[in-house]
Amino acid sequence: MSREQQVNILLVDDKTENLLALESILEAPGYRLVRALGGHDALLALLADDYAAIVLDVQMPGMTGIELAQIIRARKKTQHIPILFLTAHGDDSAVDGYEAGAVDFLTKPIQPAILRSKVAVFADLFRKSNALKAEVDERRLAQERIGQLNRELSDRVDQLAVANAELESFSYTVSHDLRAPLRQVSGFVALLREGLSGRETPQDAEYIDLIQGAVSRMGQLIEDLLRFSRVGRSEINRSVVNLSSLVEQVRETLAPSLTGRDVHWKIGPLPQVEGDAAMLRQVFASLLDNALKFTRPRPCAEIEIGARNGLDEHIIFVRDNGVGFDSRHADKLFGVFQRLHTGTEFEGTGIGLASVRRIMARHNGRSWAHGVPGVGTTVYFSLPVLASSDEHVH
Amino acid sequence: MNTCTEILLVEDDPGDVRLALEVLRELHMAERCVVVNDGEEAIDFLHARGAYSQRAPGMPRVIVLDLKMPRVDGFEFLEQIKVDPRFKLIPVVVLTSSREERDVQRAYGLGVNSYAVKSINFAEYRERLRTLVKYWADVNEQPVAAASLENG
Repeated sequence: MSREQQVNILLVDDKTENLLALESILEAPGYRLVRALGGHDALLALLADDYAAIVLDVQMPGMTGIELAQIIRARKKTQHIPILFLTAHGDDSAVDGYEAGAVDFLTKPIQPAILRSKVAVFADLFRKSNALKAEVDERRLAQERIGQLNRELSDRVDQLAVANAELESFSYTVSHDLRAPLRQVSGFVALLREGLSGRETPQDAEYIDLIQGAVSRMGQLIEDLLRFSRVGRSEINRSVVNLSSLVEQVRETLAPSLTGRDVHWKIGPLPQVEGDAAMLRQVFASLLDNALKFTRPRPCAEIEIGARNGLDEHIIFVRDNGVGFDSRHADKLFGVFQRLHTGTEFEGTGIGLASVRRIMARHNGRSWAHGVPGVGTTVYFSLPVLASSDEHVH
Repeated sequence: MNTCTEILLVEDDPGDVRLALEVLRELHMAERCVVVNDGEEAIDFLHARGAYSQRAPGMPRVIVLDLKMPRVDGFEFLEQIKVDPRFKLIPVVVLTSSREERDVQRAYGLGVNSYAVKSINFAEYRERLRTLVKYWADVNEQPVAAASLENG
Protein backbone atom coordinates (compact mmCIF):
# COMPACT_ATOMS: atom_id res chain seq x y z
CA MET A 1 0.00 0.00 0.00
CA SER A 2 1.39 3.32 -0.96
CA ARG A 3 1.79 5.80 1.85
CA GLU A 4 -0.60 8.63 1.40
CA GLN A 5 0.57 12.16 1.78
CA GLN A 6 -0.46 13.36 5.28
CA VAL A 7 -3.05 16.15 5.14
CA ASN A 8 -4.20 18.57 7.84
CA ILE A 9 -7.73 18.39 9.19
CA LEU A 10 -8.93 21.15 11.52
CA LEU A 11 -11.38 20.16 14.26
CA VAL A 12 -13.23 23.07 15.88
CA ASP A 13 -15.39 22.64 18.97
CA ASP A 14 -15.65 24.52 22.26
CA LYS A 15 -15.65 21.29 24.25
CA THR A 16 -12.44 19.31 24.68
CA GLU A 17 -14.36 16.03 25.08
CA ASN A 18 -16.05 16.56 21.70
CA LEU A 19 -12.67 17.22 20.11
CA LEU A 20 -11.29 14.03 21.64
CA ALA A 21 -14.30 12.12 20.33
CA LEU A 22 -13.75 13.51 16.82
CA GLU A 23 -10.07 12.65 17.00
CA SER A 24 -10.76 9.08 18.01
CA ILE A 25 -13.12 8.69 15.06
CA LEU A 26 -10.84 10.24 12.47
CA GLU A 27 -7.46 9.05 13.72
CA ALA A 28 -5.61 7.65 10.67
CA PRO A 29 -2.03 7.71 9.32
CA GLY A 30 -3.10 9.94 6.45
CA TYR A 31 -4.32 12.74 8.71
CA ARG A 32 -2.73 15.25 10.97
CA LEU A 33 -5.59 16.33 13.24
CA VAL A 34 -5.39 19.84 14.66
CA ARG A 35 -7.66 20.91 17.53
CA ALA A 36 -9.12 24.36 17.99
CA LEU A 37 -11.23 25.22 21.04
CA GLY A 38 -13.01 28.13 19.38
CA GLY A 39 -13.11 30.50 16.45
CA HIS A 40 -10.01 32.36 17.56
CA ASP A 41 -7.86 29.23 17.85
CA ALA A 42 -9.23 28.03 14.51
CA LEU A 43 -8.24 31.22 12.71
CA LEU A 44 -4.72 31.08 14.19
CA ALA A 45 -4.36 27.47 13.06
CA LEU A 46 -5.60 28.38 9.56
CA LEU A 47 -2.98 31.11 9.35
CA ALA A 48 -0.20 28.64 10.10
CA ASP A 49 -1.04 25.73 7.78
CA ASP A 50 -2.97 24.52 4.78
CA TYR A 51 -5.99 22.36 5.59
CA ALA A 52 -7.77 19.72 3.58
CA ALA A 53 -11.00 20.17 5.56
CA ILE A 54 -12.53 21.82 8.61
CA VAL A 55 -14.91 19.95 10.88
CA LEU A 56 -16.81 22.69 12.66
CA ASP A 57 -19.35 22.67 15.48
CA VAL A 58 -22.07 25.18 14.68
CA GLN A 59 -22.89 26.00 18.26
CA MET A 60 -20.07 27.65 20.08
CA PRO A 61 -20.07 30.45 22.63
CA GLY A 62 -18.46 33.67 21.44
CA MET A 63 -17.83 33.38 17.73
CA THR A 64 -20.40 30.91 16.40
CA GLY A 65 -19.58 28.35 13.77
CA ILE A 66 -21.57 30.36 11.22
CA GLU A 67 -19.57 33.52 11.93
CA LEU A 68 -16.32 31.60 11.77
CA ALA A 69 -17.35 30.07 8.44
CA GLN A 70 -18.09 33.53 7.06
CA ILE A 71 -14.64 34.78 8.08
CA ILE A 72 -12.99 31.70 6.55
CA ARG A 73 -14.85 32.23 3.28
CA ALA A 74 -13.92 35.89 3.20
CA ARG A 75 -10.20 35.16 3.35
CA LYS A 76 -8.45 34.41 0.12
CA LYS A 77 -6.09 31.89 1.65
CA THR A 78 -8.87 29.86 3.24
CA GLN A 79 -11.91 30.42 1.04
CA HIS A 80 -11.70 27.09 -0.73
CA ILE A 81 -11.29 24.86 2.33
CA PRO A 82 -14.34 22.63 2.58
CA ILE A 83 -16.26 23.04 5.85
CA LEU A 84 -18.19 20.19 7.38
CA PHE A 85 -20.74 21.50 9.92
CA LEU A 86 -21.80 19.48 12.92
CA THR A 87 -25.30 20.45 14.09
CA ALA A 88 -27.73 19.34 16.73
CA HIS A 89 -30.73 17.45 15.50
CA GLY A 90 -33.51 19.78 14.30
CA ASP A 91 -31.28 22.83 14.23
CA ASP A 92 -32.40 25.12 11.41
CA SER A 93 -29.07 26.96 11.37
CA ALA A 94 -28.30 24.55 8.55
CA VAL A 95 -29.65 27.10 6.08
CA ASP A 96 -27.40 29.85 7.48
CA GLY A 97 -24.52 27.43 7.36
CA TYR A 98 -24.96 26.83 3.64
CA GLU A 99 -25.06 30.54 3.02
CA ALA A 100 -21.90 30.95 5.08
CA GLY A 101 -20.21 28.46 2.80
CA ALA A 102 -20.57 25.12 4.40
CA VAL A 103 -20.08 22.24 2.05
CA ASP A 104 -21.77 19.56 4.07
CA PHE A 105 -23.65 18.88 7.30
CA LEU A 106 -23.63 16.12 9.83
CA THR A 107 -26.27 15.85 12.48
CA LYS A 108 -25.32 14.86 15.98
CA PRO A 109 -25.06 12.23 17.25
CA ILE A 110 -22.35 11.60 14.74
CA GLN A 111 -22.22 8.33 12.83
CA PRO A 112 -18.45 7.61 12.87
CA ALA A 113 -18.49 5.79 9.52
CA ILE A 114 -20.24 8.68 7.78
CA LEU A 115 -17.90 11.29 9.30
CA ARG A 116 -14.88 9.21 8.29
CA SER A 117 -16.06 8.77 4.73
CA LYS A 118 -16.95 12.44 4.27
CA VAL A 119 -13.58 13.58 5.62
CA ALA A 120 -11.88 10.96 3.46
CA VAL A 121 -13.52 12.46 0.34
CA PHE A 122 -12.22 15.94 1.26
CA ALA A 123 -8.76 14.63 2.06
CA ASP A 124 -8.66 12.83 -1.26
CA LEU A 125 -9.79 15.91 -3.11
CA PHE A 126 -7.11 17.95 -1.38
CA ARG A 127 -4.40 15.46 -2.27
CA LYS A 128 -5.51 15.35 -5.89
CA SER A 129 -5.64 19.11 -6.20
CA ASN A 130 -2.20 19.28 -4.59
CA ALA A 131 -0.83 16.78 -7.06
CA LEU A 132 -2.38 18.76 -9.88
CA LYS A 133 -0.87 21.95 -8.52
CA ALA A 134 2.53 20.28 -8.29
CA GLU A 135 2.19 19.14 -11.88
CA VAL A 136 1.23 22.61 -13.03
CA ASP A 137 4.22 24.02 -11.13
CA GLU A 138 6.47 21.43 -12.66
CA ARG A 139 5.25 22.28 -16.14
CA ARG A 140 5.67 25.96 -15.50
CA LEU A 141 9.23 25.30 -14.30
CA ALA A 142 9.90 23.17 -17.36
CA GLN A 143 8.49 25.91 -19.54
CA GLU A 144 10.74 28.45 -17.83
CA ARG A 145 13.70 26.13 -18.27
CA ILE A 146 12.93 25.74 -21.95
CA GLY A 147 12.63 29.50 -22.25
CA GLN A 148 15.95 29.93 -20.50
CA LEU A 149 17.63 27.30 -22.68
CA ASN A 150 16.24 29.03 -25.75
CA ARG A 151 17.63 32.34 -24.59
CA GLU A 152 21.00 30.70 -23.91
CA LEU A 153 20.93 29.08 -27.33
CA SER A 154 20.17 32.34 -29.06
CA ASP A 155 22.97 33.98 -27.06
CA ARG A 156 25.31 31.25 -28.26
CA VAL A 157 24.19 31.74 -31.83
CA ASP A 158 24.86 35.46 -31.46
CA GLN A 159 28.30 34.79 -29.98
CA LEU A 160 29.04 32.36 -32.79
CA ALA A 161 28.05 34.94 -35.37
CA VAL A 162 30.36 37.44 -33.69
CA ALA A 163 33.19 34.88 -33.60
CA ASN A 164 32.62 34.09 -37.28
CA ALA A 165 32.66 37.74 -38.22
CA GLU A 166 35.88 38.18 -36.25
CA LEU A 167 37.40 35.20 -38.02
CA GLU A 168 36.33 36.64 -41.33
CA SER A 169 37.96 39.97 -40.62
CA PHE A 170 41.01 38.13 -39.27
CA SER A 171 41.49 36.22 -42.52
CA TYR A 172 40.98 39.42 -44.45
CA THR A 173 43.66 41.13 -42.38
CA VAL A 174 45.98 38.17 -42.82
CA SER A 175 45.46 38.18 -46.55
CA HIS A 176 46.09 41.89 -46.84
CA ASP A 177 48.58 42.81 -44.15
CA LEU A 178 50.78 39.71 -44.15
CA ARG A 179 51.20 39.82 -47.88
CA ALA A 180 52.25 43.47 -48.08
CA PRO A 181 55.68 43.18 -46.42
CA LEU A 182 56.32 39.95 -48.25
CA ARG A 183 55.59 41.57 -51.58
CA GLN A 184 58.01 44.36 -50.75
CA VAL A 185 60.78 41.95 -49.75
CA SER A 186 60.27 40.08 -52.98
CA GLY A 187 60.04 43.27 -55.03
CA PHE A 188 63.09 45.00 -53.62
CA VAL A 189 65.18 41.85 -53.78
CA ALA A 190 64.25 41.53 -57.44
CA LEU A 191 65.19 45.19 -58.00
CA LEU A 192 68.42 44.65 -56.08
CA ARG A 193 69.40 41.79 -58.35
CA GLU A 194 68.55 43.87 -61.42
CA GLY A 195 70.60 46.76 -60.04
CA LEU A 196 73.61 44.50 -59.53
CA SER A 197 73.14 43.26 -63.10
CA GLY A 198 75.92 40.73 -63.18
CA ARG A 199 78.19 42.39 -60.64
CA GLU A 200 76.98 40.12 -57.81
CA THR A 201 79.28 37.39 -56.50
CA PRO A 202 78.07 33.78 -56.72
CA GLN A 203 77.37 34.01 -53.00
CA ASP A 204 75.25 37.15 -53.44
CA ALA A 205 73.28 35.36 -56.12
CA GLU A 206 72.76 32.36 -53.86
CA TYR A 207 71.55 34.52 -50.99
CA ILE A 208 69.13 36.32 -53.24
CA ASP A 209 67.78 32.98 -54.47
CA LEU A 210 67.36 31.82 -50.87
CA ILE A 211 65.47 35.00 -49.97
CA GLN A 212 63.21 34.63 -52.99
CA GLY A 213 62.60 30.98 -52.15
CA ALA A 214 61.71 31.79 -48.55
CA VAL A 215 59.39 34.57 -49.67
CA SER A 216 57.49 32.38 -52.08
CA ARG A 217 57.17 29.61 -49.47
CA MET A 218 55.78 32.14 -47.02
CA GLY A 219 53.42 33.38 -49.72
CA GLN A 220 52.27 29.82 -50.35
CA LEU A 221 51.72 29.25 -46.62
CA ILE A 222 49.55 32.35 -46.36
CA GLU A 223 47.64 31.30 -49.47
CA ASP A 224 47.05 27.79 -48.14
CA LEU A 225 46.04 29.01 -44.71
CA LEU A 226 43.48 31.32 -46.26
CA ARG A 227 42.13 28.58 -48.47
CA PHE A 228 41.90 26.28 -45.46
CA SER A 229 40.01 28.87 -43.44
CA ARG A 230 37.67 29.45 -46.38
CA VAL A 231 36.79 25.73 -46.42
CA GLY A 232 35.62 26.12 -42.84
CA ARG A 233 33.51 29.19 -43.27
CA SER A 234 32.10 29.19 -46.79
CA GLU A 235 28.51 28.08 -47.34
CA ILE A 236 28.09 24.50 -48.49
CA ASN A 237 26.24 24.28 -51.83
CA ARG A 238 24.72 20.82 -51.94
CA SER A 239 23.87 19.10 -55.17
CA VAL A 240 24.12 15.62 -56.62
CA VAL A 241 27.70 15.18 -57.76
CA ASN A 242 28.93 12.54 -60.17
CA LEU A 243 32.34 11.62 -58.76
CA SER A 244 33.45 9.89 -61.98
CA SER A 245 33.18 13.06 -64.06
CA LEU A 246 34.64 15.10 -61.21
CA VAL A 247 37.74 12.87 -61.18
CA GLU A 248 38.04 13.26 -64.96
CA GLN A 249 37.94 17.05 -64.65
CA VAL A 250 40.60 17.02 -61.95
CA ARG A 251 42.81 14.72 -64.01
CA GLU A 252 42.63 17.12 -66.93
CA THR A 253 43.91 19.96 -64.77
CA LEU A 254 46.78 17.74 -63.63
CA ALA A 255 47.97 17.05 -67.17
CA PRO A 256 50.89 19.54 -67.00
CA SER A 257 52.45 17.70 -64.05
CA LEU A 258 52.27 14.40 -65.96
CA THR A 259 54.74 15.34 -68.68
CA GLY A 260 57.73 13.07 -68.75
CA ARG A 261 56.14 10.68 -66.31
CA ASP A 262 54.84 7.16 -66.71
CA VAL A 263 51.58 7.08 -64.77
CA HIS A 264 49.29 4.09 -64.86
CA TRP A 265 45.74 5.03 -63.84
CA LYS A 266 43.19 2.53 -62.64
CA ILE A 267 39.84 4.15 -62.08
CA GLY A 268 36.93 2.05 -60.86
CA PRO A 269 33.22 2.90 -60.90
CA LEU A 270 32.46 5.85 -58.63
CA PRO A 271 29.10 6.71 -57.08
CA GLN A 272 26.96 9.81 -57.28
CA VAL A 273 26.95 11.57 -53.96
CA GLU A 274 25.34 14.62 -52.45
CA GLY A 275 27.77 17.39 -51.66
CA ASP A 276 29.48 20.61 -52.60
CA ALA A 277 31.00 20.03 -56.05
CA ALA A 278 33.73 22.66 -55.61
CA MET A 279 34.81 21.26 -52.25
CA LEU A 280 34.78 17.67 -53.51
CA ARG A 281 36.84 18.75 -56.49
CA GLN A 282 39.34 20.22 -54.05
CA VAL A 283 39.44 16.85 -52.23
CA PHE A 284 40.33 14.95 -55.38
CA ALA A 285 42.75 17.66 -56.48
CA SER A 286 44.63 17.30 -53.17
CA LEU A 287 44.60 13.51 -53.18
CA LEU A 288 45.68 13.10 -56.81
CA ASP A 289 48.29 15.80 -56.41
CA ASN A 290 49.68 13.94 -53.40
CA ALA A 291 49.59 10.61 -55.22
CA LEU A 292 51.53 12.08 -58.16
CA LYS A 293 53.98 13.77 -55.85
CA PHE A 294 54.81 10.79 -53.70
CA THR A 295 55.15 8.38 -56.65
CA ARG A 296 57.74 10.60 -58.31
CA PRO A 297 60.65 8.29 -57.32
CA ARG A 298 58.87 5.34 -59.02
CA PRO A 299 59.70 4.54 -62.65
CA CYS A 300 56.01 3.75 -63.17
CA ALA A 301 53.45 5.37 -60.91
CA GLU A 302 50.31 3.37 -60.25
CA ILE A 303 47.34 5.33 -59.02
CA GLU A 304 44.05 3.66 -58.30
CA ILE A 305 40.78 5.42 -57.54
CA GLY A 306 37.84 3.34 -56.43
CA ALA A 307 34.81 3.05 -54.23
CA ARG A 308 32.97 0.49 -52.21
CA ASN A 309 29.71 0.56 -50.33
CA GLY A 310 29.81 0.72 -46.58
CA LEU A 311 26.77 0.24 -44.37
CA ASP A 312 25.21 3.64 -45.02
CA GLU A 313 28.14 5.37 -46.66
CA HIS A 314 30.26 5.28 -49.77
CA ILE A 315 33.93 4.67 -49.09
CA ILE A 316 36.15 6.21 -51.73
CA PHE A 317 39.89 5.63 -51.88
CA VAL A 318 42.94 6.87 -53.72
CA ARG A 319 45.80 4.38 -53.66
CA ASP A 320 49.33 4.86 -54.92
CA ASN A 321 52.57 2.90 -55.07
CA GLY A 322 54.56 5.86 -53.79
CA VAL A 323 56.93 6.23 -50.88
CA GLY A 324 54.17 5.45 -48.34
CA PHE A 325 54.37 6.27 -44.67
CA ASP A 326 54.42 4.60 -41.30
CA SER A 327 50.81 4.02 -40.25
CA ARG A 328 51.72 5.06 -36.71
CA HIS A 329 51.64 8.63 -38.03
CA ALA A 330 48.32 8.17 -39.82
CA ASP A 331 46.50 10.79 -37.75
CA LYS A 332 49.27 13.37 -37.98
CA LEU A 333 48.76 13.31 -41.72
CA PHE A 334 45.48 15.20 -41.42
CA GLY A 335 46.75 17.97 -39.14
CA VAL A 336 47.24 21.54 -40.31
CA PHE A 337 50.79 22.08 -41.62
CA GLN A 338 51.71 18.54 -40.56
CA ARG A 339 54.19 16.91 -42.90
CA LEU A 340 55.84 13.52 -42.84
CA HIS A 341 58.54 14.49 -45.32
CA THR A 342 61.00 17.34 -45.44
CA GLY A 343 60.60 20.14 -47.93
CA THR A 344 63.65 18.99 -49.85
CA GLU A 345 62.18 15.50 -50.35
CA PHE A 346 58.71 16.64 -51.39
CA GLU A 347 57.38 20.16 -51.71
CA GLY A 348 54.15 21.27 -50.04
CA THR A 349 52.90 23.06 -46.97
CA GLY A 350 50.91 20.27 -45.34
CA ILE A 351 47.49 21.78 -45.75
CA GLY A 352 45.98 19.44 -48.37
CA LEU A 353 44.86 16.60 -46.15
CA ALA A 354 43.80 18.99 -43.40
CA SER A 355 41.45 20.57 -45.94
CA VAL A 356 40.26 17.11 -47.00
CA ARG A 357 39.40 16.27 -43.41
CA ARG A 358 37.61 19.54 -42.90
CA ILE A 359 35.62 19.13 -46.10
CA MET A 360 34.65 15.62 -45.05
CA ALA A 361 33.57 16.85 -41.63
CA ARG A 362 31.33 19.38 -43.33
CA HIS A 363 29.79 16.56 -45.40
CA ASN A 364 29.22 14.33 -42.35
CA GLY A 365 31.86 12.06 -43.77
CA ARG A 366 35.15 10.66 -42.47
CA SER A 367 38.72 10.51 -43.70
CA TRP A 368 41.60 8.23 -42.87
CA ALA A 369 44.74 6.81 -44.40
CA HIS A 370 46.79 3.67 -44.51
CA GLY A 371 50.40 3.47 -45.53
CA VAL A 372 53.34 1.11 -45.78
CA PRO A 373 56.78 2.71 -46.05
CA GLY A 374 58.26 2.09 -49.47
CA VAL A 375 55.10 0.40 -50.75
CA GLY A 376 52.45 3.06 -51.00
CA THR A 377 49.62 5.03 -49.46
CA THR A 378 45.86 4.69 -49.53
CA VAL A 379 43.74 7.64 -48.45
CA TYR A 380 40.09 6.92 -47.77
CA PHE A 381 37.12 9.16 -47.32
CA SER A 382 33.47 8.39 -46.82
CA LEU A 383 30.28 10.19 -47.77
CA PRO A 384 26.75 9.37 -46.63
CA VAL A 385 24.69 7.37 -49.14
CA LEU A 386 22.10 9.47 -51.00
CA ALA A 387 18.59 9.31 -49.55
CA SER A 388 17.11 8.25 -52.91
CA SER A 389 17.63 4.54 -53.46
CA ASP A 390 18.16 4.61 -57.23
CA GLU A 391 21.84 5.40 -57.03
CA HIS A 392 24.61 2.99 -56.26
CA VAL A 393 28.05 2.12 -57.46
CA HIS A 394 27.65 0.98 -61.03
CA MET B 1 54.86 71.70 -60.09
CA ASN B 2 54.15 73.06 -63.49
CA THR B 3 53.84 69.96 -65.65
CA CYS B 4 50.51 68.23 -65.83
CA THR B 5 49.95 65.15 -63.71
CA GLU B 6 49.97 61.82 -65.49
CA ILE B 7 49.16 59.47 -62.63
CA LEU B 8 47.56 59.94 -59.25
CA LEU B 9 48.83 57.14 -57.02
CA VAL B 10 46.64 56.66 -53.95
CA GLU B 11 48.56 54.38 -51.59
CA ASP B 12 49.30 54.54 -47.85
CA ASP B 13 52.13 52.01 -47.60
CA PRO B 14 55.53 53.68 -48.28
CA GLY B 15 57.07 50.37 -49.42
CA ASP B 16 54.27 49.81 -51.91
CA VAL B 17 54.60 53.42 -53.11
CA ARG B 18 58.27 52.82 -53.76
CA LEU B 19 57.63 49.58 -55.66
CA ALA B 20 54.88 51.16 -57.77
CA LEU B 21 57.13 54.13 -58.61
CA GLU B 22 59.90 51.76 -59.70
CA VAL B 23 57.51 50.15 -62.17
CA LEU B 24 56.12 53.48 -63.37
CA ARG B 25 59.62 54.82 -63.85
CA GLU B 26 60.12 52.20 -66.54
CA LEU B 27 57.08 53.67 -68.31
CA HIS B 28 58.64 57.12 -68.01
CA MET B 29 55.59 58.20 -66.10
CA ALA B 30 56.99 58.32 -62.58
CA GLU B 31 58.23 61.90 -62.93
CA ARG B 32 54.70 63.13 -63.34
CA CYS B 33 53.13 60.91 -60.72
CA VAL B 34 51.56 62.47 -57.63
CA VAL B 35 51.43 60.28 -54.55
CA VAL B 36 48.71 60.79 -51.95
CA ASN B 37 48.31 58.65 -48.85
CA ASP B 38 44.56 58.16 -48.57
CA GLY B 39 41.22 58.84 -50.22
CA GLU B 40 40.75 62.15 -48.50
CA GLU B 41 44.01 63.59 -49.88
CA ALA B 42 43.11 62.18 -53.28
CA ILE B 43 39.79 64.01 -53.25
CA ASP B 44 41.54 67.21 -52.14
CA PHE B 45 43.93 66.78 -55.05
CA LEU B 46 41.14 66.35 -57.60
CA HIS B 47 39.33 69.40 -56.26
CA ALA B 48 42.63 71.36 -56.17
CA ARG B 49 41.96 72.38 -52.59
CA GLY B 50 43.70 72.20 -49.21
CA ALA B 51 47.34 71.21 -49.65
CA TYR B 52 46.74 71.08 -53.42
CA SER B 53 45.16 74.50 -53.94
CA GLN B 54 48.26 75.65 -55.81
CA ARG B 55 48.63 72.61 -58.04
CA ALA B 56 48.85 72.83 -61.82
CA PRO B 57 45.44 72.65 -63.50
CA GLY B 58 44.18 69.54 -65.23
CA MET B 59 43.26 66.01 -64.27
CA PRO B 60 45.45 62.90 -64.01
CA ARG B 61 45.26 60.52 -66.93
CA VAL B 62 44.99 57.51 -64.62
CA ILE B 63 44.26 56.98 -60.93
CA VAL B 64 46.01 53.99 -59.33
CA LEU B 65 44.05 53.21 -56.20
CA ASP B 66 44.72 51.03 -53.17
CA LEU B 67 41.55 49.88 -51.39
CA LYS B 68 42.57 49.49 -47.77
CA MET B 69 43.70 52.85 -46.44
CA PRO B 70 43.15 54.85 -43.27
CA ARG B 71 40.47 57.58 -43.01
CA VAL B 72 38.82 57.55 -46.46
CA ASP B 73 39.45 54.13 -48.03
CA GLY B 74 39.40 53.26 -51.72
CA PHE B 75 35.70 52.35 -51.80
CA GLU B 76 34.62 55.62 -50.20
CA PHE B 77 36.86 57.50 -52.60
CA LEU B 78 35.19 55.76 -55.55
CA GLU B 79 31.71 56.44 -54.19
CA GLN B 80 32.52 60.13 -54.12
CA ILE B 81 34.29 60.60 -57.45
CA LYS B 82 32.18 58.31 -59.60
CA VAL B 83 29.07 60.44 -59.04
CA ASP B 84 30.91 63.63 -59.95
CA PRO B 85 30.77 64.44 -63.71
CA ARG B 86 34.13 66.20 -63.46
CA PHE B 87 35.96 63.08 -62.23
CA LYS B 88 33.96 60.05 -63.22
CA LEU B 89 35.66 59.61 -66.60
CA ILE B 90 39.18 59.39 -65.20
CA PRO B 91 40.21 55.72 -65.52
CA VAL B 92 40.78 54.03 -62.16
CA VAL B 93 43.04 51.01 -61.78
CA VAL B 94 42.59 49.32 -58.41
CA LEU B 95 45.85 47.91 -57.08
CA THR B 96 45.23 45.90 -53.92
CA SER B 97 46.30 42.90 -51.88
CA SER B 98 42.75 41.63 -51.62
CA ARG B 99 41.61 38.97 -54.00
CA GLU B 100 38.36 38.50 -52.07
CA GLU B 101 35.47 38.10 -54.47
CA ARG B 102 33.29 40.66 -52.68
CA ASP B 103 36.03 43.33 -52.98
CA VAL B 104 36.41 42.66 -56.69
CA GLN B 105 32.67 42.86 -57.24
CA ARG B 106 32.24 45.95 -55.10
CA ALA B 107 35.07 47.74 -56.89
CA TYR B 108 33.70 46.98 -60.35
CA GLY B 109 30.25 47.89 -59.10
CA LEU B 110 31.60 51.31 -58.21
CA GLY B 111 32.89 51.77 -61.73
CA VAL B 112 36.61 50.95 -61.63
CA ASN B 113 38.21 50.17 -64.99
CA SER B 114 40.65 47.46 -63.90
CA TYR B 115 41.27 45.46 -60.80
CA ALA B 116 44.82 44.22 -60.20
CA VAL B 117 45.93 42.07 -57.28
CA LYS B 118 49.36 42.97 -55.95
CA SER B 119 51.17 39.71 -56.49
CA ILE B 120 53.93 38.56 -54.18
CA ASN B 121 55.81 37.56 -57.29
CA PHE B 122 57.48 40.80 -58.41
CA ALA B 123 57.69 39.91 -62.10
CA GLU B 124 53.95 39.32 -62.13
CA TYR B 125 53.27 42.48 -60.16
CA ARG B 126 55.37 44.56 -62.51
CA GLU B 127 53.81 43.11 -65.63
CA ARG B 128 50.26 43.66 -64.42
CA LEU B 129 50.75 47.22 -63.18
CA ARG B 130 52.72 48.26 -66.24
CA THR B 131 50.19 46.83 -68.72
CA LEU B 132 47.12 48.27 -67.03
CA VAL B 133 48.50 51.75 -66.39
CA LYS B 134 49.87 52.01 -69.91
CA TYR B 135 46.60 50.81 -71.42
CA TRP B 136 44.40 53.25 -69.52
CA ALA B 137 46.81 56.14 -69.96
CA ASP B 138 46.74 55.51 -73.72
CA VAL B 139 42.95 55.29 -73.74
CA ASN B 140 42.76 58.57 -71.87
CA GLU B 141 45.38 60.39 -73.95
CA GLN B 142 43.23 63.51 -74.15
CA PRO B 143 42.05 63.90 -70.57
CA VAL B 144 38.30 64.18 -71.18
CA ALA B 145 37.34 65.25 -67.68
CA ALA B 146 40.09 67.86 -67.56
CA ALA B 147 39.15 69.24 -70.94
CA SER B 148 35.50 69.62 -70.05
CA LEU B 149 36.46 71.30 -66.79
CA GLU B 150 38.61 73.83 -68.56
CA ASN B 151 36.00 74.52 -71.21
CA GLY B 152 33.13 74.76 -68.74
